[in-house]
This record gives sequence, structure tokens and C-alpha cells, in this order.
Amino acid sequence: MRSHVNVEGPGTALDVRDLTVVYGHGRHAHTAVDEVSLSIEPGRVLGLVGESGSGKSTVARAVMGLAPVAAGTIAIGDTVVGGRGRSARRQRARQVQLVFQDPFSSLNPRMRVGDIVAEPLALRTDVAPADRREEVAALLGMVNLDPAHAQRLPGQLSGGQRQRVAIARALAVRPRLVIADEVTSALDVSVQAHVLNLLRHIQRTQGLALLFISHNLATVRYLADDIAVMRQGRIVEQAPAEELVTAPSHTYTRALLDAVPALRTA
Amino acid sequence: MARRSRPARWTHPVVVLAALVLVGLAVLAVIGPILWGGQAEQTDVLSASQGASGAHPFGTDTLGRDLLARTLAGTRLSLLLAVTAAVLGMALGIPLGVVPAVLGPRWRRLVAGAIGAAIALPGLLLALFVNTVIGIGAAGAVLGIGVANAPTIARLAQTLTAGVAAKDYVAASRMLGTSRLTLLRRHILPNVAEPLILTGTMSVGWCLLEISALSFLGLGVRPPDYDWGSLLKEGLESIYVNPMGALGPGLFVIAGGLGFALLGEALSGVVAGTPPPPSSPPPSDIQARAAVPSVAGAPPVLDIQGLTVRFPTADGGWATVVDDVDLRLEEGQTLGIVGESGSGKTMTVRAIAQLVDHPGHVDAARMLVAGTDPRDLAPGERRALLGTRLAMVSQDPLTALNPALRVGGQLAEVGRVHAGMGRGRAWEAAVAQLERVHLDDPARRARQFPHEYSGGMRQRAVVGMGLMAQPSAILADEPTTALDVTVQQQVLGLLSELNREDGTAIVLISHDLAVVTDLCDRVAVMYAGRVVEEATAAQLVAGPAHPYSQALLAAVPGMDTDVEAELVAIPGRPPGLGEVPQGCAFAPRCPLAQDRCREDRPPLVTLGDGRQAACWFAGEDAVLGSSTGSPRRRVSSDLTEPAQNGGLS
Repeated sequence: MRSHVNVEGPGTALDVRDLTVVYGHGRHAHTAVDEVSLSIEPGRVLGLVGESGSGKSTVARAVMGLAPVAAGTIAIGDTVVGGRGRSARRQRARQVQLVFQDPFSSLNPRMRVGDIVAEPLALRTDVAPADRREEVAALLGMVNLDPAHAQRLPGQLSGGQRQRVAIARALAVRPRLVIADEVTSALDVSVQAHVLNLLRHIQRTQGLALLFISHNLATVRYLADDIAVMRQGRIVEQAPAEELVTAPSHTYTRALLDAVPALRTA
Repeated sequence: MARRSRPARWTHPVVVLAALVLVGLAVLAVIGPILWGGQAEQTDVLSASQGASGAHPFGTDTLGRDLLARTLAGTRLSLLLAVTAAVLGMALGIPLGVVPAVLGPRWRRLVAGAIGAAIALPGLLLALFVNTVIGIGAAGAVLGIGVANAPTIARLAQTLTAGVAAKDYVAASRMLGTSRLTLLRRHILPNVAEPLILTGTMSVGWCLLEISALSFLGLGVRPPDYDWGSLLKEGLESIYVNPMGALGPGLFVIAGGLGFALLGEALSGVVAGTPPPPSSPPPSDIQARAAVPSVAGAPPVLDIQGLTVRFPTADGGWATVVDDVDLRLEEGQTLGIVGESGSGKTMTVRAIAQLVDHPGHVDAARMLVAGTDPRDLAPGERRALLGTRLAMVSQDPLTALNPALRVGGQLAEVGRVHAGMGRGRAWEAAVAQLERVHLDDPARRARQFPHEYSGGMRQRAVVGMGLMAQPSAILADEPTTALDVTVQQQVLGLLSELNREDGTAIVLISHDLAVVTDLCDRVAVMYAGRVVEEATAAQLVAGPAHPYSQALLAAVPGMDTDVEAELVAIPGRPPGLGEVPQGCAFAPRCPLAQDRCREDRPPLVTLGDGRQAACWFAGEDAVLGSSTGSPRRRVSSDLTEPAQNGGLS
């Protein structure tokens, strides 16, 4: 068993019940997520695997209040969240943050790194505007970036450094839950490991709950305590990571596992 | 290498000329009315309606006023009206185009429709209409032209904004509950401002022409005021007596219009950072090398030596993206090329297929495709050689398929062009080929369009299309990167089957070592434009010789990675274009690097077991470790504890 930092507060970090997301109306209606239920205990990592179009990113968007929820409930901490208005989003953003796939699209090229990381600090009442610079430096240190990088523009950073800035921005509000949506798939192979190591280190030391979304089963297996497999908007199997990988019960999980290219040592 | 601190665009003669003209006009606008204002108003009935002369270079009008003085003094009003109209167009157009992005989808559609409808109206007609409603005169003309230009600017702003609004950083900020105004100010406007300002500059030129046109029609500036347009109108009435009376103001209108247009053009070039076109090909020290006869008798499918691809850099030099790469592929062999983005793997294959676009420059000591150098052939013969011997499969099958044509027809065309088949036979061959790549119901699928296919089916159709001419080799560049893992398995399985059953040689490019070693017998690892290791797949997986290959293997989590251990991360990042260091390109990130590595570039040498590696320490047992433990474990201890290897040099 892995050790985890215990965090205060009751209940689960994220509790999604029978979530259904429908895009479009009438004849063009498309059910992207179909009665999905999942929950993450504080300080645990849930991996969400699936192929493109399986609805895994839509689950993330729904939790963030960016997708039209047709049915079901989403509870973060012990409060059920809902509504897509501005104050609902602010309320939600204090609890949960999303790290996007493409660090070239997720950072404003005209803003300095320091301002990017400081943007969410406006939501924090415990950080006075005068202390923001110090807090930014601490956040950059947390993701192993030189605080001097605060003066740089995203264009001056590599892909891996940009993704670390995006992670620092997500951590700025001290969320209980971070959703990482394909955060390594846009990165070079030699840079991926940094981001994975960092994500795991932060998750463990901060006691964060993490929803780690990826199409790459090996990456998910490396980070996650539990894994949920999605297909065509539904969760087909959900189990502790090692159990799911070694003894999959659903045929689709087995097909996914078989398809992972392995290094041939023959 | 000549280094220039700024792109040469600033000093291009046309830009200099445009800038000079505009500065001259601006100075005229300030001093014109002061110096020549009096003379321009001075009537002299005795010298009315004269032609051009030394005293009056543009002649005089019906009241005997000097037309040159009037033209010079009219500069201020002409430019003032043009600038005001342009500013008005921007002031109306930009908010109209930008603001809907932060409103709901209903508003967005409504405004977009309105802009579309306004664009459909002829601009000058709209200007005439506004002008008539407001009242004919300078104010009416400015307002009319400003309003008429607004929809064009709005459409541009709308398109730019839509691109920015779709970015994740806007979504990230929206999730924080940021207000609409802040979204606009902080994230959207700064990222659309540049092109809008450029268009604004150019629109001064259009406005100058349009207001002159209105004045010329008598709908703009009215007497006693005068601008270039109204002077042109008066001049035209007596053009047979005094051609300069019309030509003079006309020249000023042209100069102003061209000046603004060229300046805008030049500014956008500078902003886009387009490097100046190279003046000469890069220096080449590559000597042609003769072909080595093939062991098998038949010439190898690919025999490439000393392949080098260079691209011009912004500072006028050349950046080497593929550096002295040797590549040999016998019939029926499978070769994998692994590397990260920017390692030159794609460019290597594009160079072989003669697909490197201008201004890229390809050099090779030897380049033989099936025994023939494509560079020696006429364009038609070259296309025939490459089209029949090699099949290219790219990452995105949609770029290889024409969306407007049936898939079967596209395959059949290859048969008709390269194999000289008749229409009917080519179609049959196309259907047979789709069956060969395992599409269900190939006869029906052949009649469908690419959009009716799934991603995996499209990629298989592209493979089938490549096979129509029965090539010796398939060059597949990241063929499965855009596909799901289960579909990837099908496509890789297909390639493997084609190699096994038909003896088609395969070059597979991927960033994923597992994918490459799964399919290929031999693997070349590329880093910063060079091959750093070439070995059999089994050798590579069992224990790579080059520290970069070792690190690559250890950095990627597999299904058997120890989840409690940290992944082995490679410090730093790959060198960028033109940043390749003098010695070993991997030295700055290598835990084993010594002074020698930073100074001398290690050549690719053959080691005892037949593999090749470009590392001063390759082949030394101490580096590779003994045969204890798994390769991953061994590599990680090498990389994390470089101190232990300190005595190697």
C-alpha cells in the first residue's frame, strides 16, 4: 500500500453521481457523457483512461462548469456545485483547478509568467495584493522553476517549463482537487518524466486529490491509485490500479491493455 | 557567417521609399498650408486657366490660383480626412468584432450575421448613402467612408478574436470567474492588437483613395475648401488644356495610397518575423561518394550517405536540421527512426522523397533510390521513380486524401498514372487494394468519401493508396500518432503484415521507442539532426549504447515500471534550431559528459556487436554496466549517480 498524507475535512474530494452531458438539441443531440459516477477520496489519484471521443475530457469540463450538465450531481468537498454563472465558477475555482493538455495554448503569450501565476490569486482572501509576488515565487519554486522566470514571457520557455507554469497556476488557489487532462501528451518524451515526477511529488506532499486523464495506460498506471476506463461516454470498469492492469474484468480493458506497445526484449 | 541584428526587411528599397514618401507627406501636411496657403487662395484673373509653366508647374485654375500651391496646401485636409475616416472605421469595427466573443452564442451569431450582411453591401454605395443622409460635405464623406470600412475591420477582428477566444488560457481565466471586461482587456485585446493596428495603417490608404473619389464625384469636400480629390475633379474639366492640373493631384493621391499600403505590408512582414530570403546556397563541403555494391545483387531500396538539410535562419545564417545522416535499406527490411520533435527524423524522410520545401537546402554525398539518384532525373521521371518506388504515409491521413473525391477514385488514379491501367481495371485494383488493407466491404467503401471513414480506416486507405504502384518501400512518418491505441495496433499490424507477406521494406518514424521496436528489425536513434545510435531492436531494448538512447528508454513509463520509483528525467531540453553545440549535441544533458564531449563531436562508429553509436564512451563496459539487473534499473543508476562514473575519461 502507498502512504498518503492525510488531509482534514470530511467526505470525498470529488463525488460525481450519474453525470450526463448532452451537447446540441433535438435531432442533433449528442450524449457525450452517459450516467457516469466516480469519486476521489482526499489525497488519492484517480486515473481516467479512454480513447478519443470516449468523453473523458467532457467529464473534466463538466466538473469545471464548462459543459452543459443534463442530469446528475457533482459534489466537490461536501458542497454540491452547479450553475455556470460567474459567481458559481469563482466558488468552484477555489476548490478545483484544471491543467490543460497543450501548454502552448494554455498560457497567454502576452503575459509574463509571474502575472499568469498570479491571476488566480485574486480568488484568495488570505494573500494581500502586496504579498502576491512572494506567493508567485513560492509557487514557481514548488514546480522547480527559478523565481526569476516570473519576468519571462511563455515564448521564452520550453514545453516542459510551460507545463510547469500551468501547474503552478493551478496550485495558486490551494485547490483540494486538480484535474490533469492529458498534460504530458503534447510534451517531448525526454521532458514528460519531469512533469510526471513533479505532479506526483506535489500530489503527495500537498495531499491533493488528483483526477489524471490520459489515453496512455502506462502513464495512468504509474500515477493512479485507482483507474476508471471510459468508452463511448460510459465507465466500463473501475478498480484499484494494479488490479485493473493485472486482472482486467471487462473485455474492452483487456483490449486496451493488449494494444499498449511494449518494448520487445526477445 | 554574416550576422545581422535585424531582418533585412527594414532596409528593403521599397520600404525605404514608402517611408520617405509618408514622412514627406506628413511634413507637407504640417507646413503646407503655412507656406503655400496664401498663394493657394490668391486669385489672379489675368493668368487664369494656364497650362504648366515655370511659374506654375501644375498650371492655374479658372480663378488663376496656382495649382501646385493648392495641391501642396491641400495635403493637410486630404490626410486629415483619410486618417479620421480610418480611425472611425476602426472605432466602429473593432468593438463590433471583438465584444461578441465574450457574450453568449446567440449574440455572437447575431452580430456575425449583421457583419456578413454589411460586408455584402458595396462599400462606396454605403458611403454614398450615409453621405446623402448626413448631408454632402467633408463630414459626410468621412462618416460615410468610416462606416463603409467598419464591416471589413469588424470581420477581421471577429476572425482574430475567435481564434484567441478558443485558446485554453481564455478558458482558464473564465474558470476563475474573471469578468468579461477583464477577459477582453487582459487576454483577448493584447493578442489581436497587432494585426488590427497593421490593418488600420493600411486602411488609411484605402480611405485616402475613397475620400478622394467622393470629392472627385463632388460628394466630398466642397468649395471653398479643397483636397486632392476636388482638385483632381477641377483639373479633369480642363485636362485637354492643362494635363498637369489633373495629373498633379492624382500623383499625390497615388503616392499617399501606395505609401500606407506598402508600410502596412512591411510592418506585417516584420511582425511575422519572416526571415529574409537567402542570397546564396549554404557552403557545402560534402563530396560525392560512389555507391557501394549491394550484397544481395539488386540495388538497395535506399542508399543515402551524408544527407544534410539546412534552413536559413532569421539572422542570415543557416541552421542544420539534418546533419550527415547515412541510411541504407535493403529490400524487405524494416528500419525505425526514433527521435523527439526537432531531431530531424521527419526532414530526413522528406529529403529522400524530394519534399523539402524552399528555402530548405538538401545536400547528400550519395542519394540512391532503387539504384537511381532522383536528383539526376527530369522532373517527370523523378516523380515516376519516387511515386512508384516509395509510398509516403503521414501522420494526418486527411492531408493525403482529397475530401471532395471518392476514396476508390483516388486509389484508382495512382494505378492509372503510375501503372498505366485503364479506368475499369484501375477501379478493380483499387477495390482489391482496400481489401488488402482489411477494410470491410471494400466495394462499398471505395464509393465513399474520406469523411465517411474513421481515422484508422483513412490511414489504412492511405497505406492502400501507397501500395497501388507496388512500391519497394513504405515511408511512414508517425502513422499512428493521431490514432487511438487500439487502432494504432491495427495499423502497425497491417504494416508488419505487408512487410512479411509482400516483402515491402518499411521505414517507420516515431517518437515512441516501443512502437518502433515492436515493428522494426533495426532502429536508428536521432538527436539534434544526427543519428546517435543504430542497432537492432533487440540490442536497443536489451541495453542501448548511447546515453541518450538509455535515457529515452528509462524516461518513458511502461506497463512494468516500478510505480514507487521516480521516473528518470533527462535534465535540460533538446537544442533548438541553430542552437546545436559544437561538440556532442547531447553533452549539456548527459551525466557522463567530459570536456572532450563538449569540444569534439563523436563520430558514429561501429562497435564490436555490429551496432553503431556516436559516443566517446560507447562500448566501454563500465558505461553500459554489467549484465546484472534490468536495463531500466541499470540506466537509472547511471544517470542519477554520475559521480560513480567519474573515472571513465
